[in-house]
Amino acid sequence: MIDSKITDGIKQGDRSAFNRLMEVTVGPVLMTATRIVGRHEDAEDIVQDAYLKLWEKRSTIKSDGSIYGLIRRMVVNGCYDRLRKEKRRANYTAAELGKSLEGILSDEAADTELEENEFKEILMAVTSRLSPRQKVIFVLSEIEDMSNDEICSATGLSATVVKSNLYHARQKVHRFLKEIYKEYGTI
Amino acid sequence: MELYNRITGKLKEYSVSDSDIVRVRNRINRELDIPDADERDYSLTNLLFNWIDRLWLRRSLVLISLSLLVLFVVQQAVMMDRIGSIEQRMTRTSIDNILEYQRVMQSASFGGNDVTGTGETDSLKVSVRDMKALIESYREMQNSYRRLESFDKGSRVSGEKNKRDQI
Repeated sequence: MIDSKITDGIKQGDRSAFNRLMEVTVGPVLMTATRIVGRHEDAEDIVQDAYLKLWEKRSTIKSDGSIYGLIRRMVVNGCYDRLRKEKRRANYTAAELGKSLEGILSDEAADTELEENEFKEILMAVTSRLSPRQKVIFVLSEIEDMSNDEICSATGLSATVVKSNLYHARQKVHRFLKEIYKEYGTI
Repeated sequence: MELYNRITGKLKEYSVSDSDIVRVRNRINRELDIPDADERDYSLTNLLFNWIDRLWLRRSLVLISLSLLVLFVVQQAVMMDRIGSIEQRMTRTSIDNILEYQRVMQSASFGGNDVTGTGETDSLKVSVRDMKALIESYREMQNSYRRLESFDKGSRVSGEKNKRDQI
């Protein structure tokens, strides 16, 4: 997908090589960022900052490393920093989440695409009780379908830390959904 | 567990659109001064100066180059025009002088009573008889000069001969 010629070109300041990198990688990393932070504008800012930083520090890129892995890590870390900076974390009750999910998960809505605000609503609600790190790992694992090794590579965390945070994140989400089940029965 | 899977499944369906991706790429390109994909310019000027990183610098160089080119063309045009006008004036002046001279001499030859020369600064009116007298005196002076010249040559030659004889 991204060969060493592109990496070498970027290191030498070749803008066409940088353009080719963007053609291939902006889509996936933008999607990852949007799924972590929930908001398009924030995700776009984070992705833009990551690519500009990559260009500024292009001379330090390792030729033997994966440049896609590097940009993904920069984006994920950018998302993590953004989540940490959020002063107030919305605290959704089971009732509020149940209400959001009722229409979205109904049979009638099974074939309709999720709107941006619906996506944001569900994501915020489901992950509202998670810490920023747990949320990042949860999204990368459960929504992005990354393996633990890929999550370690994307976050720069050790395997132990990833497993631990993922376990706790799943536990919290399950507990939250049980509350909704008690409140609403089957949705 | 079923609700959990349904929720995560629904969240996975959400994706970003192509327009979102293009927008982000264009934002990055603008920050780096790279032309947007749909605005990319394949003109000769861009090909000439694409070794310049900064787009504003590239555009400035193109502007300066064009200005210099226009100045050069204008300068050449002005110079050619001036050379042309100088040539015209020289030719006209020569022709005017010749024509004037011919007119004067024709008037004198065909027995007109007087001749009027038309110089730029003044005009002179002389009679034909005076003109003929003037020309005659000029010829006499010319002959006198030639005689003097030949006498001078002769005296120099005889002077040298006398010196040799004395030695």
